[in-house]
Amino acid sequence: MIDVNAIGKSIVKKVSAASMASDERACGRIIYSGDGIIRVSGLSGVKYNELLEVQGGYKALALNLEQDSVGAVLFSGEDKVCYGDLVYSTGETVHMPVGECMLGRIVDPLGEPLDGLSEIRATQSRPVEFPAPAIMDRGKVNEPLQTGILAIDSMIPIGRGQRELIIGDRQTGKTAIAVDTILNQKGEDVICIYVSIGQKASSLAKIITTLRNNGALPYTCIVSSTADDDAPLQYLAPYSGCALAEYFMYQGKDVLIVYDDLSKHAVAYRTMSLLLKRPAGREAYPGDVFYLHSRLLERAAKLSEEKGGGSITALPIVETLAGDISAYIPTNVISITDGQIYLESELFNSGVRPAVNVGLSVSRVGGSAQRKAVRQISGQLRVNLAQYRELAIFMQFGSDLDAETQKTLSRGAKMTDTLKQRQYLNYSVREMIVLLTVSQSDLIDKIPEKKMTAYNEGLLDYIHANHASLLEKIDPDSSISDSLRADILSVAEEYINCSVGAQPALEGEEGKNSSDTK
Amino acid sequence: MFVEYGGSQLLASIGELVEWESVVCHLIALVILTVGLYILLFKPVKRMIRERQEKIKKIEKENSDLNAEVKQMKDSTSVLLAEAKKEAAVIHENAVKSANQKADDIVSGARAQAKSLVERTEQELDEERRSLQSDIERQISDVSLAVAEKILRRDITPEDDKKMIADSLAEWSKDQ
Amino acid sequence: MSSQNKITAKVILARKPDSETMEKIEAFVRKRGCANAVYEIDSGIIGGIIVYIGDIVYDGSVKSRLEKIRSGIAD
Repeated sequence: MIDVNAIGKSIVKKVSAASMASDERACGRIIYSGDGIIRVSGLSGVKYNELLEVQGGYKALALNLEQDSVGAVLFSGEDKVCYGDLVYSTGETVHMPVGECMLGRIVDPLGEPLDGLSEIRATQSRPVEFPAPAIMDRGKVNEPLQTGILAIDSMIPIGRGQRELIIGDRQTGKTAIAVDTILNQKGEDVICIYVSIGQKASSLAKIITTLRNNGALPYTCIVSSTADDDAPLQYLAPYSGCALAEYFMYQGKDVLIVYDDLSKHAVAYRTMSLLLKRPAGREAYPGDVFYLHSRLLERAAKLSEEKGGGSITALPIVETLAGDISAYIPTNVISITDGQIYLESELFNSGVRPAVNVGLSVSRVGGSAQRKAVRQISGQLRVNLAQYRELAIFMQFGSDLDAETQKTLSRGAKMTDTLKQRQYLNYSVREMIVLLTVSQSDLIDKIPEKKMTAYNEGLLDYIHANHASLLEKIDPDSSISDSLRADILSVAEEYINCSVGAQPALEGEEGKNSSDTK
Repeated sequence: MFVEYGGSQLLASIGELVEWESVVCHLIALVILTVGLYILLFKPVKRMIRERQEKIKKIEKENSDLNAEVKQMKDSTSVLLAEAKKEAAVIHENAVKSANQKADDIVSGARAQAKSLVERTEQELDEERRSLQSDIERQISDVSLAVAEKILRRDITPEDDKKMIADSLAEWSKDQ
Repeated sequence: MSSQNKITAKVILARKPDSETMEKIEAFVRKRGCANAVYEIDSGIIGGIIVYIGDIVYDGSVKSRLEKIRSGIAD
């Protein structure tokens, strides 16, 4: 199995390749090491953010430049370096290997593979810190990025090159939305990068399994720093991921990058800052924690046509505590991004999944990128839902309702049911158009409230099996004609007849009347 | 002959027996009776019968109408039944179709998953082999370097050292 | 280089140098702007020379060459 000759040959080759020149390098000595921080005397020529090499092959990042010492954070070997060790400057910043070979791989923030597969032989690399595209290089966000989630694509549309924050408490399905979005990019020619910052290794493993099982890995790269990684690696992870994304963007490709999650990133940075004895500000975060995220998210952009027209769509995730979006990090990131998807644990627990709070979620630029047909039919959706919610809250106390109110309430409930969606069940644009058209028509009154979800799923199957041509006929980029609308509705009615039965409307009416009389 | 003879004889005898006045009176009475009977009895009875006939006709007609209706209903039920059967068949077909499609999806998904699993395992195996190889390389080099160090430590003469120092110094001076 | 005038160079050797080598080292160190040099004998470097001048290290030891080969193979 193992070729001994090859081993000998490769050793000989490597020995002859090793440089024999006696070298001359700038160096300093460690005068303090603790908590992953080293203080180095000497190294007067070192620059901010420069990569340092510690004796023994460990890497460190120079962050504090002082009169006669340099403060640096270690990426590895925290327990190996000791007082008096030599530290060499390398003259370069941290680089991330980039290239197509990174796709399908799981790497750490320095580009080393973590998936037990072959070595990554990237021919190029990019600095992890890189200036964001200039104003003149930017184009208008005008192409949609389909998440496959009806509630988001219809009411909070995301465009390519947009930065849309996903915010919510723990266990509200934030990551699920991001993963669904990655899964939905299959065959869309969008490269996905999932950056895990301080996540539990178990949940990351679950996400990777999901991506692999759904065939999403070939176009995805996972930059992983788990909770047991050193703070500097967690701090570096989003910048590394962004460097990789930029490589593809400047090639004119569309990239989706998920930062999961930025609150842990801020915490990692706070750890580093406090250990480096930088002054602490609000919530003990250092003064530049806003800049920390703004310079990262500014790098997500849509390039102009002259620059190749590539884009980076960023989906940062921020975790709130007890729904408090006025905490420091959430407000910072909200103000940086172009909108947010706000998830609520209350909604999540009452079965509305994805638990998107439509009232508080906005998308500031995505509207212009929405497909024309979707925009046409979802225009009224937000208003209708808002009316329904208002009425529902108001009517919780009322007992007898007039028929009109009852109808509005029942329609609203059905609409909410339509927006519920199982995880990993993504709708295509055409399916969305069908669902939206049906759920906003009068047909919806014929379906019993409890059967709405089942009906929607069944309807799509029914259409796929029997009326595949109908889906072909729908053109998402032009508005829906009345005849097409009628076609969709007739198919929907057909399915009502064979699934719910032909006279549910009457029963429904009777049911309502009896409840009225009660 | 006999009848004619007998008849005229009888007539003559009747003429003898009956006076013509009474005959006339009887005739008149008969006429009156007949007319009276006709008007009072025959007409109402006739009308009654006609009415009854009409009634029967009407009932008959109704019956036939009903029959037709029943027949029509029968026809339409069979049509409906046929339609329903057809519809059921279509629904069944659709269900089978979509079930088949789903089954296909599941099977192909499972197949793809199995394939990717095999591929991945192969990749991992390759990587394992490669890492083993590099491990061996490293161990060999460690040993040989240790040997080299030992030998060098013993064999470097002060002259070698001197030359090496001179070379290094010359190289560094050249850089500047 | 003027700022390094008062710096003392540190020279590490494997064995005591003869006068010719000493002279060469002195010349090199002076050229780098150091007033004097401190010598240290460390047999651990096997052979060659290491010179520290301020922040800069000139490493020409046998030990470091062997290390270089080792890391070259490990990569």
